[in-house]
Amino acid sequence: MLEVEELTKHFNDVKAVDGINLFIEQGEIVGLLGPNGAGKSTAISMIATLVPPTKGEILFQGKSVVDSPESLRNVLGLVPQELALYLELSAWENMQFFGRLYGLKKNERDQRVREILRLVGLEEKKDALVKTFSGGMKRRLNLALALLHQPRFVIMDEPTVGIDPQSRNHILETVRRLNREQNMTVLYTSHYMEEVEYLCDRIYIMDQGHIIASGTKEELKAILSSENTIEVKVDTVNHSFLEGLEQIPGLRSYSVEGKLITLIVPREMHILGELFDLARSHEIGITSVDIKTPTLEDIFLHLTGRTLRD
Amino acid sequence: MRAILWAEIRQLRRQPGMYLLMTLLTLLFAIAFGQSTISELVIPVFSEELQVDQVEEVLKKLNQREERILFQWADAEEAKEQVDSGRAEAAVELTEKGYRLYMTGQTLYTSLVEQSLVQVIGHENWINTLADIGGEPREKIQERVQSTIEKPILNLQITPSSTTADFIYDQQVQSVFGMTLFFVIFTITYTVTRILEQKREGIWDRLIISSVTKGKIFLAYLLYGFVMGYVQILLVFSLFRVLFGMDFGGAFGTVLLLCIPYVFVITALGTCLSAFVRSPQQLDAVIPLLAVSMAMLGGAYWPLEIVTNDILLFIAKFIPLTYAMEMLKGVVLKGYGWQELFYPMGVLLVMGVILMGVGINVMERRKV
Repeated sequence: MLEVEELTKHFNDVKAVDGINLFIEQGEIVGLLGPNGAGKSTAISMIATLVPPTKGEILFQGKSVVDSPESLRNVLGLVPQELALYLELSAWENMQFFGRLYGLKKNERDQRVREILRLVGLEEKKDALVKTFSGGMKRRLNLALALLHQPRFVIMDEPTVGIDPQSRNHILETVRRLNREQNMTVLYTSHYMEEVEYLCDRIYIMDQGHIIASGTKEELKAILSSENTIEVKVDTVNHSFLEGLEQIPGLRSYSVEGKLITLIVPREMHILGELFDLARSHEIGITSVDIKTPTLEDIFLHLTGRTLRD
Repeated sequence: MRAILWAEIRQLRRQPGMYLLMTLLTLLFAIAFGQSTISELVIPVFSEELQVDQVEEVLKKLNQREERILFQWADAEEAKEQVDSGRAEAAVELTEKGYRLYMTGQTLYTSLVEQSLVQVIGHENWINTLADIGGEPREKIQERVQSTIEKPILNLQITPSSTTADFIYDQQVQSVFGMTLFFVIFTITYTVTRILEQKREGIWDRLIISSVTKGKIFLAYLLYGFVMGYVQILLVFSLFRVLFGMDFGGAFGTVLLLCIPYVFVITALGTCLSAFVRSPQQLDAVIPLLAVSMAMLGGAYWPLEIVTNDILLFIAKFIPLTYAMEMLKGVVLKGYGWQELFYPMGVLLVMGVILMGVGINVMERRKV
């Protein structure tokens, strides 16, 4: 359905996106994962025909989107990272406005607006001004506006940033439902690993303008199939202990988040004895040890040496 | 396009405060400035040759002729000292043969003083000379001159020009036009630069990927800015007409028509600002700076005819307000016809086209 070839965007000397390749099939939910500044939003802006690429090609059903963006725009829904809403208008008026922009006739427009507001759980709030909405309600309306004209392909750029768990679940469920019931294709970006794991069939991991890994969740996790992730909770962390940790032979990488230390080690290697000895010698108490199967977060750590929220 | 106008008007209805405030400020400033008058110019007059009653007679004639200048009898030394110290633009010494004018430099007002002196004293001297040469009684010559003035052999049509010699000043006209054109800069530029705000909020992206073309989106916002500005002018002028009886020289319709090119240029200026300015903070700094500078240089606060600095007058040629004020005051105070209006109107339209072209092009080339 959509192919991206050697897509590149330079802002003066900064290479925001540097020769990425990806494809999306009809009916897939594809995740674009990466930390802030990885180039996800720039890549998405190019795919959504909002920013012209410096180099590369975007093909939608075999036709160049760079040359004629209309072919994609007609079937595209965009959920921008910003809350692209008129705060002084009601939810109903916002929906009516965008419905008019898409040329929906009044009866069809009214019906669609009602359906979509029901879908995102805002039907009862349709006449309230958007400025009175909570963050989660605004995010749901932001999604609703992208769905109004029944797009076949929806791009969602961090659609759940800064909202309550209830609204987040609602949005994730809505996306999943639309994908299953209407075969809607979705390109979903987030730096929330659990959302991508939950929703996406395939995942592209981006860092510093490049795609550093791609595949299904299983394929990506296979990258770490020869490795174990060990989460160690300690009562305190100090510099000399971490220096000692780096000296343990075979340790691939580690990260520290408060009192939680995540270690990635070869599966065949047993480091627990050395770890306990090291802790004892630095007078550090270990409160728990958890040997886990790898997550996407672990994969990202493995590939970049950083966590997604760095 | 109609959808965008619909949404903008709905939002204005919900939050009309800023628009109404701008309109109210225009009214208040125009009223306040319109009621203050430029202080009367006092010219000291003295004579060491004429009798008191002769001087008084001349003073009476001079003051009847020119109401903007008060010719006042003064002591010779004091009159000269006033000119030296700059407290008086000029001083006049009346002599048996005519007058002597003391001044430190040529200004608009000294020209007016000279005109009055030539008209009153020069005219008297001419009659006296005729009486001396022809031997005809002075009164008879005076009578003939008066009758010729009333029933002229030829009717001369005098076409007003824009030179300072034709300077006609009306404080109310100056302030109503000046303040309205000044405040409307804020209304229009802040409205048009909503494009910038919408880009920042992501609404612009949504508009771009909709089925409406980019050209129509631009047009909708520009049209909205234009209408907002024009309606404000219409409101203010109408209120002055209805509430304060301002007659606009009997050319109210023409005045409204002449505001169109000016509103167009300011709309284009707003487009340019949207293209070059990157943030609302920058906009908040740039718009007042630009509006106040344009008002000062373009003659919104005071008439350009009293400005003598050549550099400022040169810069004024690049300010849209200069041409708008020239057109409006020309029509109301000097009875300008379309022939005189053609040049300023043309300049405004050219300015508008250039600014709009540059603005839209730059905006297209860069993602704000």
